[in-house]
Amino acid sequence: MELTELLILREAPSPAAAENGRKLSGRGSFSARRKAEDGSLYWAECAGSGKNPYRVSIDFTNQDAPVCRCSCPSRQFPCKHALGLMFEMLAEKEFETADIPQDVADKRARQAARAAKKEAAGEDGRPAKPKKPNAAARKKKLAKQLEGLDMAERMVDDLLTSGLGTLAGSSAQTFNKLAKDLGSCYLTGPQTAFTRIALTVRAVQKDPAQADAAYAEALRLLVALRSTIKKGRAFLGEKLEAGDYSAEDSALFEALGGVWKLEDLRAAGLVRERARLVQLSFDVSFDEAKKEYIERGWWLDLDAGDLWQTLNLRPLKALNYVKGDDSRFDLLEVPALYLYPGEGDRRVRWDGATARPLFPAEQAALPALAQPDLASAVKLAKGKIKNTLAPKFLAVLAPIGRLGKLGEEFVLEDPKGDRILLRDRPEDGPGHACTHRLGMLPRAISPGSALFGLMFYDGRDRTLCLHPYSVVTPKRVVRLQY
Amino acid sequence: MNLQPLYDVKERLEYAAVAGVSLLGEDFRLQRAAEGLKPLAAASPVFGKIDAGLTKLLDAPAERRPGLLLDVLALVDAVAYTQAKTGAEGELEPLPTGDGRYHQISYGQMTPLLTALTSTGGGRVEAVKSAWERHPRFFEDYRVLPALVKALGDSYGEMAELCARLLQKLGPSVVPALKRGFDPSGKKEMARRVEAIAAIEGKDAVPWLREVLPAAKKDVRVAVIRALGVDSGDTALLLDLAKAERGKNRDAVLEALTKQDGDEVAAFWEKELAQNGGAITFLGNTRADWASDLVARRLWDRMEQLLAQGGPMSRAGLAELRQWFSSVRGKSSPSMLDFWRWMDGKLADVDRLRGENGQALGFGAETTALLLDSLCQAGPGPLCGLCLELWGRHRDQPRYLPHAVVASLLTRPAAEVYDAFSPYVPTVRPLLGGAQKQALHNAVLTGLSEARWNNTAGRHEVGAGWPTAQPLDARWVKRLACAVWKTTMHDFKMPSPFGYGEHLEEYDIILTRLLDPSEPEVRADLIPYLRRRMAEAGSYQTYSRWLLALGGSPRGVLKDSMLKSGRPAYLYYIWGLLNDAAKALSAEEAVDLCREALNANYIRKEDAPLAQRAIPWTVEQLRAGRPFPDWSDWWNMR
Repeated sequence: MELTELLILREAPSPAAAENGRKLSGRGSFSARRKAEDGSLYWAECAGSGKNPYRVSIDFTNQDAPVCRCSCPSRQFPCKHALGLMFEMLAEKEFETADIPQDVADKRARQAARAAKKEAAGEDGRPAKPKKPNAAARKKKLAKQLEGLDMAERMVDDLLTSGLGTLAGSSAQTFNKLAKDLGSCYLTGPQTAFTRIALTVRAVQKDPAQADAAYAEALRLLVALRSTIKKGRAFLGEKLEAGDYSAEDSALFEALGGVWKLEDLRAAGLVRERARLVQLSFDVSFDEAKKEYIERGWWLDLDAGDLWQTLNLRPLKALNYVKGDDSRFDLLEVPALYLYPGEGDRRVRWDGATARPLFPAEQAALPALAQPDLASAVKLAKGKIKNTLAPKFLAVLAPIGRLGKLGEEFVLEDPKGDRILLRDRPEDGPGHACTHRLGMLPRAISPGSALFGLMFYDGRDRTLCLHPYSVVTPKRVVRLQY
Repeated sequence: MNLQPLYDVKERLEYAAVAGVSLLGEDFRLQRAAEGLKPLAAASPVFGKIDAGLTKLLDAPAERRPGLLLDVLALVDAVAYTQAKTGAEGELEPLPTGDGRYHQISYGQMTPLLTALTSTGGGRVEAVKSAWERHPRFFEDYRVLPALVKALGDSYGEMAELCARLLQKLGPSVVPALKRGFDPSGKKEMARRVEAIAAIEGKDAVPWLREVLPAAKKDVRVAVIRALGVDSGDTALLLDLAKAERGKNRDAVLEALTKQDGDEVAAFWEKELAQNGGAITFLGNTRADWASDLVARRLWDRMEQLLAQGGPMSRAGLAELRQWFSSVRGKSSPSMLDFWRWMDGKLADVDRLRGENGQALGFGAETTALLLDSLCQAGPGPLCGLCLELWGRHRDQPRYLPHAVVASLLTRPAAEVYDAFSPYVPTVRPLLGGAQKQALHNAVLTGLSEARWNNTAGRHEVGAGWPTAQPLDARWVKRLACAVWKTTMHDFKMPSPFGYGEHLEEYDIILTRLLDPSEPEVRADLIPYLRRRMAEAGSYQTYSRWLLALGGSPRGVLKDSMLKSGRPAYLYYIWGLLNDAAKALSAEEAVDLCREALNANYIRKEDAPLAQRAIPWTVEQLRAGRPFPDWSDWWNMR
């Protein structure tokens, strides 16, 4: 594995941690730099604030997932000392060859034993099973959730009876308090929806000029919530009746606030073996309702041609302890790709992946994975967004016939001559505005390219538009964002 | 199909949700919209479903209305989505190709840079600088370049100036980005764009400058006019502008006209100076012969008048005369040389000039110093010959000796310079004429003070960066180290180039500036000298750093020098010194220095307890082969 600055930034829990590591390296805090003869382990001492230096090492036994160890008490992982050691390696500082320290050798042995045990279990043909649920507890939880749904429905009814416009002052506080109670009914999905509605309505009070758009958004949320309540009640009722308490391949599970574990996804059959993925775009946004950063990657599956999204959620309270995600420019070979329930651009996760450069032939084949034409993409998008529980956009890769402008509007024309307007999705905010960058691309777009973006409904003129994020050419993916 | 009735229904439902469904029964507009949907309901089952939902909603009791409203709205929305328009009619205009390049830059790499360029607050300049040091290519990325250009208008001037410098370093490839969206009536950002374009393109920018000039306003106009000065073809335009422009714009015209040449320009300045003597400040930066002749002629006239009057000079008159003299710097036309010869002949009269209170002005010495300054600005050329000629006339006096030293360094072989001037720096105390000889010694030091070693360029330089004819003769160091007097023309101490509140003899500053530290002979001669001076002077911070830079060490003299300094040390400064020493010296030497610093027992009373803990601990660290600790490590031991 070639150590690059990009890799260090990716390993770092945050850019600030990487910067601190860089500073440690820059000011010569490392001493006694050593490496194993086979280059699989690098270690050194790093001067800290204590009397004794920290002992820090990086184990490259698994090249795709280096293991960082440090004697410092930091809760960040990897800590700045491990990142600093990576910068020492990047700067090609001298490392003396030495025998691997005993403590690291012991840890390696224990790790190898664990891996062997895991592998042996896999050879038996018995994949890790989800833990058996505690039926009584699950039953109690379902009952509580049903109770919560009744409360949520009453809240919706009350809100609409008095009108969205009245959601201010003390009524907003009461509303927020009730929304919090939904959390104790295991309904974090509806709870978040109510918080979002309150925030949207509050935006009207701050800027009355945005009233139409904000109320429309609040109503969309209410429609989705009503649908969640209705479908959720039926879903939970059936489960309670059937005594089935396991997670299911249904978007409702997450809409109600369920959290998927990889073993549950596997048990539900939501897994694909040996996927090859290329990232088309990456962006970060802040969810005010959940107080968390959402790091979103958009991926193209080279074999199936599907578009997937990864979401790395970093709550504000735990920002320093949850590793950040970053743009990826290489190809990932994923042994097991776990899919979340849903339709279209589904969320995916994986446990481990191998990165390698994208071969020119693979790159050249990317545009061909686009939809055959705009009409097909439009049909898919309309099919998805009319579902009340689905997000109101669909990621698509559309073939480019021509890109151009009509007055101030950017337009995509497919090879068949069909057109779609290219616009920034207003809900994503100014941080995601990148359509204008199509007019700033340093080179003309080569024939046979495709445009990746999010298709969405723009209520202002009742038009289906595309928010472009990347141009996929036979030679490279040109990102308009990150 | 006309879908307007559907959208009317949607709008009324949304309105009802905002106003409250309790008022639904009285909403005649919703009822009217529902009526309007009937024809569509008859034509299509989906609209029929909506119509049925609406009827149910309007007939429902109040408690069921909220849910029914949302059900109908969900259906209406779904139909609206499926009926959404796509496409756009009209002739497509091809997309322009933009500026810059595309680089694979990750979010983690790009965001700090874009944030620094587009936001406000502290630490941004540092972030941009460090990004430039690590990844200059990021700045030409098509997503970063517009932000860099935009940052020319940053409210923090230092940031805007940094961005201007970076754009200039990126070169011609950024010019289209600078011209894109250029607003000739804009503010400072646009003026900086003009300056950047002019700096990158030079004369090639002139057609564009001429194009934008008519619409340019305020700061932008000033920048455009100033930039026009680079092309000799703009003389006629600038002369016209000189008639039309006022205030700052006219100043810019005058500045631009100083870069022009020709009879018309000379005639303009002749007239301008006659009307507006203050305009002489603009001529200070030009070396052109016409300007030099003009200044010399005018100044000559003024001096003749002044000497003829003989009376005391008014304060305003003196200020104006100084302004005129300051414009002679670097000028060396034949008329200017003649003027200086004439001044030399009149020096006795000039020295007699008095101020309005009758006090002696010392104007002769002032103008002689100005000639030296002028020589340093002009470099090799006719002024060198003139200075050597004037020195030849007064060889026994110190007046032109500094000039002769500088002129010789610029034009003559190093050995010849040493042979000619080293005798003025005696190494044995003279028995007779000591004061006169010390004045000559000081004059030679003044000349040498204009020379320095430029480590980046790897050469000795004089004045405004002019290279010496040959590298300085290495014998100078030994000579200066052994000189009888360690004095210069200034009889006060100068602040240390390293700060720390230390003041020391200018002589040692001049000497250390002259050195090429890579010369082993120089190091061998100077290290013992500096160690001796360190103990004598007590400025241990400065001398220690000089010694470290030369590969020497303050070990053995640090304690004495600290005690000599007369001021108990701040522990932070001691840490800084030892930290620097640990980087340059072996661990053993660093340990010895730590001990010396501690043994001197001359650290501020407040810091002494911490020093007693931190320094011995540092000694242990160094002995264990660990790096010298950070200040925070010491500080945390309080």
